Amino acid sequence: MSHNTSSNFEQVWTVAKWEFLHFFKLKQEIIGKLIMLAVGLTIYFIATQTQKLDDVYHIATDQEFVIESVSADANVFKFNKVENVAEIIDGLADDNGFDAVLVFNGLNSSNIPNAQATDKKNEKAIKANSSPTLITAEKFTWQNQLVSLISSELNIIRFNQLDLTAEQQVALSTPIHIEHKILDDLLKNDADYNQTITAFGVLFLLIVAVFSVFGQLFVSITGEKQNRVTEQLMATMTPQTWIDGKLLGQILFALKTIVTTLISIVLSFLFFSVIIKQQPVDLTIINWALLPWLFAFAIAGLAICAAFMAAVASAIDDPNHSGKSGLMMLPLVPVIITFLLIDSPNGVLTILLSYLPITAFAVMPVRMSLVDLPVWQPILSLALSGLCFYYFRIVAARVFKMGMNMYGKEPSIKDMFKAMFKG
Amino acid sequence: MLQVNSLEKHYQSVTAVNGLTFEVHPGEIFALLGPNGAGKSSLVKMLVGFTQADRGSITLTDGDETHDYIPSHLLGYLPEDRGLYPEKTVKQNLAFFATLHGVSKTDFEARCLHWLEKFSLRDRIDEPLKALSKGNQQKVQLISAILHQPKWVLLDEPFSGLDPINQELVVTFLAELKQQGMTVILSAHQMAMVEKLADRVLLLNQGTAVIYGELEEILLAKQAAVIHVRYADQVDITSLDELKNNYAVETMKSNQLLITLQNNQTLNGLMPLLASLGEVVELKNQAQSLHTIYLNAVAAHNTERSSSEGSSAEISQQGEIS
Repeated sequence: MSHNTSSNFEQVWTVAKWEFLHFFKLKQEIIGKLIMLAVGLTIYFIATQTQKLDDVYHIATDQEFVIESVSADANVFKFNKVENVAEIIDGLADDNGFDAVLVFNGLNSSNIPNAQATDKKNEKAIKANSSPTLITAEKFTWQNQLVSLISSELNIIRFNQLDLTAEQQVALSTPIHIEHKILDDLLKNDADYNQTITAFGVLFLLIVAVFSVFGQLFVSITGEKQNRVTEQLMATMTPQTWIDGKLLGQILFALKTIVTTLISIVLSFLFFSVIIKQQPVDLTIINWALLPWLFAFAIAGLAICAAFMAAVASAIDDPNHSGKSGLMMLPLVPVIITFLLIDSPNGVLTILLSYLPITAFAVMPVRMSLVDLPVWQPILSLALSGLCFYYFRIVAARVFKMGMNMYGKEPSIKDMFKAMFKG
Repeated sequence: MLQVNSLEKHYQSVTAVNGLTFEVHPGEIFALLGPNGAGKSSLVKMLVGFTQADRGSITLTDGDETHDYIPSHLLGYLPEDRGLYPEKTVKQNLAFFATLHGVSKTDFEARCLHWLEKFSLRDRIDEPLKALSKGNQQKVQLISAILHQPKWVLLDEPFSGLDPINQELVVTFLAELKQQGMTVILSAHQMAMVEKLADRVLLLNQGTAVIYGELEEILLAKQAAVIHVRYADQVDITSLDELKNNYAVETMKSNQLLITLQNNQTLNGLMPLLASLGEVVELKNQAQSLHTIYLNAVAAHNTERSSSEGSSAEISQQGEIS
């Protein structure tokens, strides 16, 4: 008779592999990505098709009106002055040859002597402050473009009526830019806003991963309890080994989710910009130098959230009748806090939360994107997060063992707090 | 060797295990018996290290090493509250537990096929577990508990939920484990199965040991010389009175008698009288089965406990009056 033994690490790895493969289905993964691509393509083509204009749209007007814009879109709108606007409006729904009616209300050039249009094609009677009305039978996308073109044309007419020079016209049509200078030298300038986009991008991926891990850990732990596998597992290894294996498996799965989602986004971006739009690749939006830090914090955040979830799920026997499922939403709190504090990255509360392990994984990366920080700060934050994860996984194992020996009773929140301090 | 000394376990006001002392010898099949709530599960949980005793000790000696419970590398465990992963195949389930115990792939293949063959499940190796009947799932779980060939096997209710044919298969399975040198501790209610298998038994009731020792000795000690006689026809009433004057006779039916031999009475002395009553067609010793011993012992223990509790309550009342 031979007696076999397996080291603690081997057992952790076996559980991790089991956990990962339990949820990873290559076929479904590929199908999922193909569906995403198909949906993206469909949305893109629907959007481009709805924005694409028909041959010609006929617009009836009560005044002479022509769009002089050089835009290609302008040529598809033909304005025809009609005598009886009311009759055309009545027949719009009956396909009377017009797609819309443009009515210039109360136009009377004689009342405003200095406000006459210099435009030869548009009647001089068009008033500078006139508010025309566009009437259509139904709502379509092309109408937005028509409104935009009419608005631009009327703006030009207004400038002409006011008799402005070319410089004045340019000055009036250019928005005023106000530069905001902040005396805090640590804050990065506006040019570094890409870093913030990168940080929020990773935070978004992290949220996706955290929620997928949450769901899976919950299903996995409570599922094993309901399948009654746990006692035999616990006779094979310690609760700590089991929890560690599950956490490792789920963290690996979450990283897979982050990486594949990121690859999908980048590939979709490349596909649409290079192949479909035939534009050059522009990946400057990604701050590559910040990425390793962001991933380090993402892993720390995932690990802490997963350990927290493992502790909660360990205290639940029947997910249908447990009041603890609401605790699953708690890791959203750091993300919400991050959005609330983003405007004051050097505030005392923000600094404090960027070190507090349960919020650091969300706050510190965003802070790093906004403030020039000495390297010891993110390192310290990561180290504290590591310690927190180490402790949370111990608590998760304690809660699990406690629940297993309570003969069907679930550990209360009080019991869970006790487990935080006593093994 | 597993030694348990004065073991106690309390859950708030309930005493689950009360001063248990016993030994399990290497290579034997040791049966834990007892009604529901007798303390078997509490004892099992302490033996596998899930819970700790409030008092007393468990000492497992394995070569030079001693442990205060059966450690996982020496243990094969089938819990009472059992199940595996229903979505996974039979092989995946078995491979998972074997890998956790460090069984090599080659050993796993050989052992897995061997045991599945024994349980007539070899053809179903690649089917998901949920496709199997409950009895077959239980057999797979039994295999998963012993694929790593542990020195100690602890099986909690291995016969429950199995039909008589599968119960017999489990008896053969346990006998093979013993043959391979494993020590088997099993908790069970199926006395007929235990009687076939066990070397020694421990009967628990209300957390205490009621019967403990070699099964053969227990059966012999509790054996009563009760003879069951069946006649071809109704017995002769005149001769029956003579028999009743000399022996303790109980008439079961008009053609069946139950005779209890006293200390100095022998079967040889009884035979002529039995023959005088009519044509004997069946004569058998109504030996006490383990089942009867179990029921009698538990009943006697319960009566003893309630009377001792009654007397102590009486003494306490008298004390209060005086």
